[in-house]
Parts: sequence; C-alpha cells; structure tokens
Amino acid sequence: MKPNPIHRRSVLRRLGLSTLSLPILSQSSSLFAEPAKKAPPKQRLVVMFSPNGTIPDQFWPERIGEDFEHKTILKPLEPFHEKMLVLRNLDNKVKGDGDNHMRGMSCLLTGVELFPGNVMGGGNTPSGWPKGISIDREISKHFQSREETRTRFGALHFGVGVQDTADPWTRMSYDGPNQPVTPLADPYETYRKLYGNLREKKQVRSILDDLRGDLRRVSDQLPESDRRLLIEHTQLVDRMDKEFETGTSLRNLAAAPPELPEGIRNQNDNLPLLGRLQIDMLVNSFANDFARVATLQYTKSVGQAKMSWLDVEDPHHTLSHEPDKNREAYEKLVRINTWFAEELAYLLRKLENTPEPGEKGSMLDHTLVIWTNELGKGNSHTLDHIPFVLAGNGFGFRMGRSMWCGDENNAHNRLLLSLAHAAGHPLETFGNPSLCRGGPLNLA
Amino acid sequence: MVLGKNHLAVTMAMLSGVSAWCAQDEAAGMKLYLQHCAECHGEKGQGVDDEYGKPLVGDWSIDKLIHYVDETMPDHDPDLVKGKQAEAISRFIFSSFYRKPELFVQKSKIQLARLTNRQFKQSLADLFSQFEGQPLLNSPAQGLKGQYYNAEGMNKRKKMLAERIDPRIQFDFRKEPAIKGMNPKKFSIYWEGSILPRESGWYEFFVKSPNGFELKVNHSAGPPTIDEKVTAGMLRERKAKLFLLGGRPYPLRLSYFKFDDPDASVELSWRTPVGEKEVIPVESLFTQVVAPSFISQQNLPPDDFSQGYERGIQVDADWDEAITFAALDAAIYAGKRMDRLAKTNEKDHNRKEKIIGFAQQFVQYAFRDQLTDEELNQYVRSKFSEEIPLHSAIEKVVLSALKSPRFLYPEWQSLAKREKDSHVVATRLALYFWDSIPDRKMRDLSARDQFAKKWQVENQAKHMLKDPRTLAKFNDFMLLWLDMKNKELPSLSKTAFPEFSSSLALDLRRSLFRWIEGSIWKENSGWEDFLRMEKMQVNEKIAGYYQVPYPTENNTSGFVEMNASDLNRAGLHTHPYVLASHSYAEESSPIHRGVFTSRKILGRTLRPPQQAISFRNADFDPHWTMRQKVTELTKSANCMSCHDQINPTGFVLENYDASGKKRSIVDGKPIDLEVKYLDVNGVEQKFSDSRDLLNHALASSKPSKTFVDELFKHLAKQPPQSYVSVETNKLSEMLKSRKISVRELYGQLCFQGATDGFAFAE
Repeated sequence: MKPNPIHRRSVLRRLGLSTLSLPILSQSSSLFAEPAKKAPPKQRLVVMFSPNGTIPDQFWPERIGEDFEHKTILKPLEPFHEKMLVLRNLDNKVKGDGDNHMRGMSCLLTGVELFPGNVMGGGNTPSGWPKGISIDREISKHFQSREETRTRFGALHFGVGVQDTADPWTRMSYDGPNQPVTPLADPYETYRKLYGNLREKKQVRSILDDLRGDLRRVSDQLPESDRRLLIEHTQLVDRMDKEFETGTSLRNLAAAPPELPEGIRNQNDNLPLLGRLQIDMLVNSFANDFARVATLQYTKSVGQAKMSWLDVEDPHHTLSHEPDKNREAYEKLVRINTWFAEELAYLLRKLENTPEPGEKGSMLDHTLVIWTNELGKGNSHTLDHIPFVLAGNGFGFRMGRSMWCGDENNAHNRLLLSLAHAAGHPLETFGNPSLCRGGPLNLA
Repeated sequence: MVLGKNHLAVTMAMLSGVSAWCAQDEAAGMKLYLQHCAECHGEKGQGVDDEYGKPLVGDWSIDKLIHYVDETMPDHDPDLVKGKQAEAISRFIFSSFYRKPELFVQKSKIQLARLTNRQFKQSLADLFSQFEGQPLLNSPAQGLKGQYYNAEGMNKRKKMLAERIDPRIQFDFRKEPAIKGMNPKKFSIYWEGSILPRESGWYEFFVKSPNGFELKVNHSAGPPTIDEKVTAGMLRERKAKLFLLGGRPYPLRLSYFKFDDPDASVELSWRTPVGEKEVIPVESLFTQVVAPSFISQQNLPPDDFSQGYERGIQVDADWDEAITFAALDAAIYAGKRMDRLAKTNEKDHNRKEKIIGFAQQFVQYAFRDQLTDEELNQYVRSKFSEEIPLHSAIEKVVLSALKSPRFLYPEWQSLAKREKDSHVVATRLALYFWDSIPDRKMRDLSARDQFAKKWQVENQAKHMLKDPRTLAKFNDFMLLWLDMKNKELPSLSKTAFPEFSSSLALDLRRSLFRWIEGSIWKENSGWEDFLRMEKMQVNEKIAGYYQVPYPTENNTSGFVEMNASDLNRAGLHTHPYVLASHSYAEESSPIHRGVFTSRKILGRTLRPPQQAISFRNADFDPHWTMRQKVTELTKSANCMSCHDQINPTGFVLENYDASGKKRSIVDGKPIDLEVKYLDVNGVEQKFSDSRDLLNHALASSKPSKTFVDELFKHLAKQPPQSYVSVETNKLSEMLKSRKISVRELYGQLCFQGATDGFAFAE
C-alpha cells in the first residue's frame, strides 16, 4: 500500500552491508545492453510543480499561436520559444471533497475525486487521498511493462523543500487509490538511491589515515601479547580503504554522477541550491537511463517558503492571499513565479546541452517537461486556468506556440489523456471518465 | 574422553570389590596410562592438540570413571584396556589430576577485547543520552495518558473534554462514545507516555483503525514512525519495525483523528522479538514521557559465543563494515541535532564554541578518559575549519571517535597503564554493570579525585546497582541462563494441546520475568528463593489453563502473585514456561529437561554430545513410556557417560506434560518418577519427585558456584580466573548460605572485577 516514508537513517541501514559488495546497477539491463534494433525513440516525461497559483496577467501570453509573447514570468523561457507549448483555458474540474488547494494538488495529475476523509481544509468538506493513479505513474507503469522501455526505477520523484507531512496538499503522485508516493526531498537521499553509498564511502575514507595513526598509538602502549586484535583491525582498515576506493558498482555508468557538495542542509534558505542539485541528478538519472518519468516538486500546495534570496521574507502562501491591489505583494509574487521559470529554464538548458545517448539530438528532444501549479490564481483559489507550460519535443506535440484549449470541454483530464496517448498508451479515459469527454486534446 | 566404537557389557558389580590402593598400584597405573592414554591426553593429562585438546578433568566419581575407561577406552580399541588395568589407569588419573583443575589453569589474564554488540549499542545510546537526558522512569504509573478533544473544522483540538489513563489502546468507539458528552462525529485523542520493552531486538509496531492516526516511537525528528493522518474511512493496519534495547524506556505518542467517517476504532499492538502479535500490554506502558534515545538500527554480526557468553575476541570485515555504518548513522544523527546536543541555536554568538565544546565532551565520554590538550586537538579541534560547515565537522568527529580503538576496545587502558587509575575503574564498572560508558556523575567524581578510596567506589557501585540498566543486563543474563535468549516461544502441537496458545506462552514468559524482576531482583531475594520459586505470577489465562481459581480482585496488569504450590510447582525448573520450552511438540522431553536441570539447577558440567542422535517417536513401540524410549535410545556406554546424569533429572519431571501441566498417569499408566542420580561425589541419590532434586541442589555447593561463574562471565566478558581478586568460591558459598542475595552478588562481582589490581587510596 503506501510506501513508508524513507529517511536517511533507514536508507543507510537498508543499504548497510549489502550494497558494499552488490553492484547496484545489476538489475538494470538497459544500461549495458545495446539499444534494441527497432526500439522506438526514447520518450521521457517531467512534471515540475510550483505552488499557490500564478499571477495571470504576468504569466499568460495574450496572443494565441506561434508568435505568443513572453511576459515577465515566462521571460526566462524565451530562449526555448520554439520548443514550448503554452496551454490556455484548461480547468481542473474535479469536484467533491477537499478544499481547492487539496483538489488542486491531489487531482492535478490524477484527474479524479478525493475520497471522503478526515483532512479538513480551509473550506468545503474534509477529504482523504485521491481515488486513482496519477498520470506520471500510469505512464511509467506502461513503460515498465515493456522490455524496450523498462528502466531501473521507472519513475523518480524529486522534492525541493518538501517537508515530512504526508497529506493531500503535499503529494501529487499516486500509485493508485489511497497510495501517495513520497518524493525524495533530500539530495543526499536522492544520491544514495541513485548511486549507492558512494558518498558515505568517501566520508569514511577521509578518516582512515587518522584511524591508522590512532590504532598505532594505542597499540604502541600495549604489551606485545595484547596487540593481535589491533594488528588484525589495522589490516581491516587497509582493506576497507581499498574496497571503498573503487566504487566498483558505478564503473559502467554512461554519465558520471554529479559532484555533490558536502554539508548542504535541507532547509528553507538552501532551496535554490537544493533545487539545482536535484535537477542535476534528475538529468543525470535520465542520461543513465535510470528512469523515463520524473516529477520535480517545489514545496507543496500551501507551501510557505520564505524566498529570502529574492528579497521576499513573507511566506509564499500567505503572500498569495493578498488582494491584487496590494502591489508590493503582487510584485513579489511575480518575482517568485519568475524565479520558478528560471529554474525551469535551468532544467531545459541542462537537457538541451546533454546529447541523447545513442540517438540523434539532445535529451530535450526526447523529453517533455510540464510546468504546472495547483491553482490558477492564488488569492481567488480558482481551479480554472491552471498553468500548463510544456517544453521539449519528447511527446511529438507541435511546439513553439500557445494554444486555446477545448471550448467544448476544457477539463484538464483531456491533457492527461493526451499524455497517455502520446506515450503509446491510448487509454479511453483517465481519472473521472465524464471529464474526458472529447477525448485527448489534439496537440499535434 | 573420546567416543568409543565398541561397547562390551561389563557390570559395575565386577568393579565394586576394589582392592586397597597403594603406591605400587599408582606406579603401575601411571605406566599403563603412559602406554595407552598419553598419546591423546598428554603425559600429565594436559591434552594434546588435534587429539583430545582439553585437560582431563571433570566431576565424575571414581566408579564412573573406571566404568567409562573400561567400556570405551582407548578410543581406537576399547578392548585393549579392561578390568584391573582400567581400574589402575582410572585411579592414577583420578588421584593425579582429574580432580585438580587448578593444575591446568593457564596463567590467564584479561584479554584485549572489542565491545560486544550489546556493549556497542548500549554505549552508543548512553553516549547521546549524556547530552539529551538519560531516559528514566520515575513514576510507576502504567498505561498511556490520553487527552480527548472535540474537533471542529480545521481545529482538531477545539475543546479538551477529558484526560485519563488508558491501560491499553484497543477501542471500538461505535459501540460506545470515547467520553460521555463527546461529539461522536468529530473528535481526536492524543495518547502519550513511554514504552518499556523487556528484551533487546526488533519490535514491530502496528496501528489498526479506519480513521486518521500517527504513531511516534522513540521519535526525535523526521517523519513519524507511522503516518496515516489521511484516511478514507477504510479499516487499515500499518506497521513499522524498530530495533530497541531492552530495559530502556522510549517515548511513545499515538494521535488519533475521527472526522465524519462512519466507523471509529483504534488498536495499538506490537510483535516483540520472540513473539506473536498482541495488543501492547499495560505492563510495558508508562504514563511518563521520557527522552528519546539514539538506538543504532544497524544489524551487527553475532559475537563469539563459543564459551557460553558473548565476547568480543574477533574482528573481521563484516563486523568492521557494520560498525562503520552504525558509526555513520550516529554521525549523521549528531550532525542533524548538534544544536540541541550542544544546547545552542543558530542565533547564538557562541554557537561554534559550544558545538566544539560538545564535540570535546562527546569524544571524552566515548574514550572514557580525560584527554590532553594535544589529544583534544587531534580528535576534535583539527576537524573544524572555516571552509567546513559545522555539522560536517561534527559528523567527522563522531565518525572518527566511534571508529577509534579508544572507543571500541574499552579495556585497553587497563592493559596499557601500569597503575590502574580511577578512569580504568570507572570504565570497568560501567562496562560490567551496564555494558556501557561511565556517566556524567562518574566522570565528575574521577575528575575531582573522588573515585579513589574504597568506600567511594563502593558507594558508586551501590548506586549503580539501582540503575535500571543493571536490571536490564541481569534480565539479559536470565534469558541466557534460562535458555530463552534468541529462542522462539514454545510451540506445541495444536492437536495435542489445543488450548496452549502462543498468547498463553507469552503470558507465561511474562509470568517468569515479572517474578524475577519483582521478587528476585527488587526484593533482594537469595539463591534459595530463586531456585525454590515459591510464588508465581498468574493471570486469568494462566489460571484457566493450569486450573486454579483466579481471584476476582486483581490489578491493571492482570497478574497476581499466587503460591506456586497451588499450581503444583516445585521449584524454578517446574515453571510451566521452562517445562514447555524443553518439550517436543507433542510430548515431554526428559532429555531437554534433564540437560537444563543438570546444568542450571544442579550446576553440572555436560559435554555436548559427540554424535547427534535425534529422537523419533515413531522408532519405538507405541506402548512404551517416554522413560522407556529415552532409556533405550541412550543406553550405550558412550551416551550414558552423560545421560546417566541427564536422564534421571529429566525423568523426575515426567509428571508434567509438554505444556507443563501436572499429570499422574500417561496413557492410562501411572508414571514412575523414582530415579537414582549419581552426585558430584559419586554418591547415589534417590529422588522421587522434583522437590527431592531441588533439595539436593540446595544442599550442594556446585550449583551456586556454576551460577556465580556464569554470571561473572556475562558481566565482565572475561573468565574469573583472569582476575586476582575476584573471589568466586567465597561468593558462591555466601550465596548458598544466604549471606548475600542474587542482586548483591551481581554488585559484588562487578565491584571485585572492576577494582581488580587497583590500589585504593587510603
């Protein structure tokens, strides 16, 4: 059912002894195998989430079509204009239990109602977890079910500043009804999951010279007859030094793991750096074909990050409640959302600058990145006009334009359905079937 | 001696009319010994490597020795030595060295040993507790404290309606409201207190409810142990597994949220290292909330147990890696919590100094020593620099300290330093009493030079005897002594004993330990009280199964003390748990019971069988009694060398069935309990029931001596011969003659071992 939340200590324990000798990549056939002859071109999906709604008039392009303009918030994405698809007029029409933040978040990728439950939000009725799987996991399951698209992890879920609370405001990926998926919120935890305990080995090796000296000094003070155990212990130190040096299990990586600086704490002020580390590992995990699906979640719905690096000291969600006429708040929110766009641009650049292993083009050509939000607008809590900015050519959509979607049915379920279809998984419906009327959006 | 291949029937009678023994005979005996035996046993009985390595000593009588030599020796051809020759050899062996083990005591001394697993985990936990507070239960109040609230909207704690103590968490609120006047639709309950597991090992916690819940066990930071706050009204059970050290309390919090869901219930259970899943019993719950402990969750490879006690005489790669990862866990924990550990915060101007101060303290606790400036620089200050974040430096300090031989080999100083100083004494006291490190108080006393006079150390030892960690270690010894450590619950055949459930087995185990903790330890009882077990802890289930009336008046725990004789018990060896755990699934096992009784109650030495023969009921005539079957199975002279001790001490318990229930007939036949038992002096004793056996044990010196030796080895992880001033003979006499209690014995052994070779100040 719901996977236990993983934290560093338990991960360490689980890795413990076994990973020292176990080649962590041994399960991954795709790493070493030649690409199968008629394998379809690689397709990858990333969903990036930022919370608390956007500022519509600084976000949405006025012009529909290829010559859409980049207002302040989307300005950082201008270099990717040709690879972008801005979808306007999509609403999250899932009704039922839960407040808008909850449904905004937990129905965003599931397109289905929440169970009645006991989590009481700011309005509406209390709710529980959603009744179905999310599209990222659905597509990943589809990929994992086939030999040619199967990878070591299938899907990876990265969190930036996501705290330890497990509730419908904090989870967007689900493995099925009542099955929230917990993102990896600590880059060191991510590192361990992806590359084994390489980092710990390095940490241990850094003290081994001192330890040898220590053993020698203690040994010197003991009578000869009592030294046997310490001599054996010293040999063990040498052995560990050698064994931890090689990091054997990672020799066959297509792309070397990114350098992870030591000592970055998982706290508010470090969000920019934490985010970059997670993005670096996300891209690296794609380069190594560890996964074809990923999510990148900044804080959570109702997230209260204090973005001091933008000179914003107010907590994000509180700020998002301010009326439009509060120009200072308005301006700060624009700054915040622009910053998210910059982080997206960093991700896109990184993908664009990485050649697709074994295929033509860059990784961005084989990836679709979707930037979204749980609300259309913060202070109105509307679930209409949910931001959906798509980038990358991985799913075969016609990019380089803005598009006005589905006048007859503008439920965002139709977008979710299009994603499944584009991934070679032509579902009839996804989420609530009645919201799928009209079928997948025509994005080609 | 070595197992023979052929056995000729020679009766004891033939050997009984022995002639007078004189010097001439001795010379003849020696000559024969050198001719037939020395090749394997050594010229002086010292043993020969690759043949029979151990000295030829034992506690058999001369008659038994002669019989055995005659029947089975020499190993390669037992026909070579018969009759008079066998007698001559045996008498030579007997008078020259067989009863003189002191001849073979090698000049033994304390050996350098690493921390055992228990010592490692206990020391690590206490190391952090020096800074976060030792978890101590001061209040005996049992159960969990529950706060009951009405909820409204987002406010789960709108109004507190009641606070009460709940003995166990197993509620169905559909049938009756949690509290009178409570809104049955929207409410929340917060239980808190502590949990006190008795044994060390992996505990699995379960919460079952259709509503929202969150469980935190020994929680300091990070995600809860179980997080199920969000619910869809479906009944579900979640679990989480934790390694816990026994005898140590841990904080526990369970939050429960009911919100409109149609159903409402909650249940908190666990599975202990031995056991079956059960609702956590009230005896393990306390209302007081203690500080959390750092408990390493690393699996460590088992310690050497070849001598019947855990000792750290071996290091290998598996151990080294396990210790390294445990140290890394601890280092990361320290890095995360450094502000709390160093009692500072990010705004504190002296933060860095305080954190360095903490690191210095930590290392000195870990090394059980006062370090010089140079050493502090080397182990602590050199790890800090401007470029390295503080918590990374702390991680490095902790990792280095915990991997250092100064932490891992606790007695190295006592072997290195010529004169034993008070740090050595403090180190040993903490190690022997608790398997741990000296605490703040001991360090302060040593530093102030108030740990040098005999009375000062004695006072400290008395104080330590009262510490719960001492009882925890004693319990650990009891598990071992009672053959219960790392063993599963007795599982009897469901067809033969349909009423003997695993929950009854758990209650019996509890009954035994409640009595040990309550009567033997806390009331300072003696050896005789221990073996006689005149009282027994009984709850309704036990009373029902063993058919005694259960008093209507009882207490929250459900256990009452009753006269053991009312349950037909006659001594510790007849406690139903002991009997049931030494049984086959369908039948009693006189062999298992006899081995236990011989070794523990009578203190006899038994060699492990050289040839394992398993008992198969189907091999025998179904009309035979168990006694007949076992007699037949073990009748060969080789088997009988030990089974002549084992069988009678097991047969005398045949009036208890496999579940420990008293019986007088089996399959319609009366039970023959009469047995003959050859005691240590070769004197034949007649027992007609388990009480006779008990009386004999209490009159003999051997049982208490064996107990004292075993206890000492458990405490010090070294044999008593390695110490000059540990007086096990004197102490076992005192124990036998009721001059000291079992608990005082514990204190004396630790004190004598710890101060061995220490020159007290005047």
